[in-house]
Amino acid sequence: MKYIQNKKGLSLLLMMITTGGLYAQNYTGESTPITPPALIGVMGVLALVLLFVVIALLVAMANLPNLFKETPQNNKNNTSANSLIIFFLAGVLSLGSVYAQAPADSAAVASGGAIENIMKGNINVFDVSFWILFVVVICEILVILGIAILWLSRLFNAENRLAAEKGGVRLSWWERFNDSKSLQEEKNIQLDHVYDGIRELDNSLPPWWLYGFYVSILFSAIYIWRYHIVYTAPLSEEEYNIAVNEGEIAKSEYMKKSSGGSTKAIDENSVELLADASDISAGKSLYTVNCVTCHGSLGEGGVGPNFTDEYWIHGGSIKDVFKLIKYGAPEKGMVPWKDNFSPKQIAQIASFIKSLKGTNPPKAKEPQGDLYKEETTASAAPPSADSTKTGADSPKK
Amino acid sequence: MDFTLNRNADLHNSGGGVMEKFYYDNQTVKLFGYATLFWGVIGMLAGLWIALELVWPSLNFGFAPITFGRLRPVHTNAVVFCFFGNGIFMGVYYSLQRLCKARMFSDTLSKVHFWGWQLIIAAAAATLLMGFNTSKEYAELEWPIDVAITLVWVIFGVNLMGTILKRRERHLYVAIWFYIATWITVAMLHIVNSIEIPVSLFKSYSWYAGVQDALVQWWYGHNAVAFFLTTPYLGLMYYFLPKAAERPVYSYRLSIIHFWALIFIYIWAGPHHLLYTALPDWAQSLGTVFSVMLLAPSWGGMINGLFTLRGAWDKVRESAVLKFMVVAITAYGMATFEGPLLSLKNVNAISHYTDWTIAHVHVGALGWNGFLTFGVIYWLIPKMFRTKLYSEGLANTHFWIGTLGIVFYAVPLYWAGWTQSMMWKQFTPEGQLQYQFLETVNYIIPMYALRALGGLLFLTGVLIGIYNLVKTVKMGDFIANEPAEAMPLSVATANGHSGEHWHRWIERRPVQMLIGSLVVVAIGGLIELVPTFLVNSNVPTIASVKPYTPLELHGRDIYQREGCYLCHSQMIRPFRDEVARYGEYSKAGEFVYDHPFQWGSKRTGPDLARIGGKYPDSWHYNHMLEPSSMAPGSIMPTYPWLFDDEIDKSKTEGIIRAMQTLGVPYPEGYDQQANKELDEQAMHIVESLKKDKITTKKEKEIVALIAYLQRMGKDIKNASTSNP
Repeated sequence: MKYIQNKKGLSLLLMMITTGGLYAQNYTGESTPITPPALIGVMGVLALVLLFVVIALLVAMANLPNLFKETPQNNKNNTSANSLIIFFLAGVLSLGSVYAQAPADSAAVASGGAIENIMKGNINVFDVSFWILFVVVICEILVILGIAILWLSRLFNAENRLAAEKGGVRLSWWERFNDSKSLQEEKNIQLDHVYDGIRELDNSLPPWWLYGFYVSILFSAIYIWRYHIVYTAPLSEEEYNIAVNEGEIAKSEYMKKSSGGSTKAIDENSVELLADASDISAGKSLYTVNCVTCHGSLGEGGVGPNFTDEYWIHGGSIKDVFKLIKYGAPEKGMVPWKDNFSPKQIAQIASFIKSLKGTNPPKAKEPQGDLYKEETTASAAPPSADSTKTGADSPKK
Repeated sequence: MDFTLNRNADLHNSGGGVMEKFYYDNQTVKLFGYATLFWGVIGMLAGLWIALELVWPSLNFGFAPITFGRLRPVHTNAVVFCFFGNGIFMGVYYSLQRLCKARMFSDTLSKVHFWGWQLIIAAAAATLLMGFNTSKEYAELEWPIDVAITLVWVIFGVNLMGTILKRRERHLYVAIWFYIATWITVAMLHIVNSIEIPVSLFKSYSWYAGVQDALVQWWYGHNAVAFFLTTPYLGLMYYFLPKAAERPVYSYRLSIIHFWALIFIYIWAGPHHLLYTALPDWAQSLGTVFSVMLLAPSWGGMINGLFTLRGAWDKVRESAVLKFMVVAITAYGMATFEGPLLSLKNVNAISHYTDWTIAHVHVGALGWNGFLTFGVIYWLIPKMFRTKLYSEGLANTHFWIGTLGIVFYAVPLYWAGWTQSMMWKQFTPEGQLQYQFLETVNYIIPMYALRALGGLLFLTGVLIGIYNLVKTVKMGDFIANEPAEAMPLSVATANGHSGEHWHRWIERRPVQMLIGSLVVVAIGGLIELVPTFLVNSNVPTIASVKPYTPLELHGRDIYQREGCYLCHSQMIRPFRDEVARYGEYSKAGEFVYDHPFQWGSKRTGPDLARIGGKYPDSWHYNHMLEPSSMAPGSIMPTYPWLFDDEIDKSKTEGIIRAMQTLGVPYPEGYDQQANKELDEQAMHIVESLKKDKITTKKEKEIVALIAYLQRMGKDIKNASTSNP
């Protein structure tokens, strides 16, 4: 009877989990083309560990009846339980494979991996936090498993029985560790009061607990001392400034390296129209993810203006478009994208947008802004002329 | 029936009283037990539904009451105050009588308490679904219900203390210490946090604003966890675990130390919910260090629970009740270990605003509170019905499915939280944010699906449990008034005896225990709250920050009503990535007119502190009507009713006057011209929408909401901070 209930529970689980797995696979398959960062590789390992726990729990669950009934008739059921477990595991693993793929994909992405960083000796605060999380989760798992093992084995009882048989008092390492009195000596520390049948012992405080408490108090005193008395640890604002500086340094170093020493970075003064097909298609894919909601999938306009006509609100040169994407026009609702895209990417998007002119998509929005006539050699246009035109930035109507 | 006393059995009570016969009230216990199960299922169904809405946002069907922002407070309130609340009352009413050797003080008060609490719950559910929401998490109920809660809580307190005062047991057992501390602290928290100024029957504004409101709210919110989900449950553990295991409690002196340390330290830890916010640094640091110091006192309870099972582990294998309790206590240990870690700033920088927090609370809620409640119910019901549990096998099935449910719930969310946070913080080598917010959301949706599965498993277990209990009840023979007998208290024991433990003194004095608890819990609160209110430098004023316009205030009311704060923060932390993503980090002075504050605690969607002016009005219009039209892949629900319902302009005057009472500097007589200004501003928005070919009326709620959204964060542009 009991067992049937269990089996029902299991098959129900099985159904739900396999469908969940399918869903997850489909989902990651079609909607997240972006490669996850390398850190997810680490999470993949963690994921496998966690799946392992789930499996262990399931095995325990399926074997549960055997713990309570030790009659032979269970043997038959046991085999079917095992096949169920195998079936179930298949479901779980298919689900795990979603994540298992992630590390492989992302191995190419060099930056950000916690393990890599630590191996390289670049320990930063997030890596440390990662390990803290890791330890928390592992601890939690260990505790669950520990509890399971505790009641599966008869650790304590066996030892105590042994001690009782010998007639002497023998403390296990665990009891010594906690400074507990043995079960045999319990009557010596039993207090004389009884509350509705509940008695209380008067074991000493476990030493590790007590000293742990002291240590936490000491930690707190040092913490306050460092942050608020001698100021040797950075408070939020200072921490922010440090992070921004570090970011700037890392960025400029990267820029130096990637541009081969020449510090010439792309900005609104130096940008040129890109004609390369690969740049245009890179621009198109960024456009598709980030811009279509306001400007339409074909540049026909929507909340934002139409890109396919010859009219521009903020100027139509590549420099104007670049500048507008970079800094936005908040009063008109255009978002600044400088923190989201690199200058190269902005140039790609701007070039793609410029390539849309004259495509005449259906449902095109009416022209807005001023007529912009392409200079004969757009890329060679004197920057000063453009920047003064857009610099006015006044078409408020 | 004649009952002669047995003097020999009672040498301690040498006063020589006569054995008194009396009856324990099981009826109230039973009712609270049924209510626990009923509201548990309702609360979990609401939770499951909103979990599914995060995967399939269309599940709100465009219907306001089942939209995430309204159903989520129903879920949290139902689970915390109805499922666990009734569970606490069930356990307290059962154990208190037996520990005091007395029937409850008054049957009438017991009845009023039970039915009053259920009425409050019904009213709470109805009003929350209708959108009456103060927007203070776990204290979302509007002022009439707050008043009712206070009354019923006082009734509970009278019944509790009355029973204790007429007890036949000289000393108070540790469970009762926890009950007393719970009662007095919850009363203090509820009253202080609920101070609000009513505008109408179901609308009020928090007395506090901005930083102060945030501090009070999280002082409350954190200690609701402490004194509603921890201390009463520790009390239950101290009674039901030794009863079920038939073992003595491990250590009396550990009980004493961890009880007083726990209630003293817990109350300080609230600011750890506000790390890196505009809360003054000193308060944040107090939150961190007291959270770290909280670990040992919390674990004291776990140790005393688990070690009480020494010599009874073979019973754990056999008894579902003990299994539930063991996992509950273990989950308590895990959650209280994780809590201090999450309070460290470097960990909090990652975990906060993510699903990590949600996973963390659910280990506590599902594991500790949920499983302990079921352990207690499985033990109690057969006892009161004088029978055995219908099926030990079903109870074990419930246990295992529930455990699996917890794992499936928590693990994907830990993972989701960590991953998303890392993605938020990821910069490209060129110094740009690598991921758009929406990409990070879409990446973790599979984890949300698994979490919903975990919730479904847990709920399935509960339903199996209810079936089992119904069958047990049908088999049994309920004993509404359980006979008992005990000697009355004698004068001789009133002063204790020499050589007794020093703590015995207060165990004989419930009133001193009550006052002592209050003093101990008041210290931390006072030290944190008072300076934040009185010392000006804690909230440097910003000259350019101006009060909201009447239309914006209406928009803000709508923002609260729809529970926007549940998925969107309004607090940009001083992190490189947040400043890059959202703009200049938030300053304390920006929130001085925010009654109540709207900082939020979770970012299912992006931060909105500086959303004003980022998008055109038409973007917001389209986005509220169909979020995925402006943000493909968004999991935000649709809000079609905002386009039909109209702003209640009759309330404007009252709102302005209430704000004036709260110290918002509107000019004298402004309430009279407020609606005129409201119309003008609304007309402006209608015209700007018209430019984008959108036609709407200026009376529609969406116009007010757009006004509020477009205002957010604008004050500080070109602002200068000045320290008075």
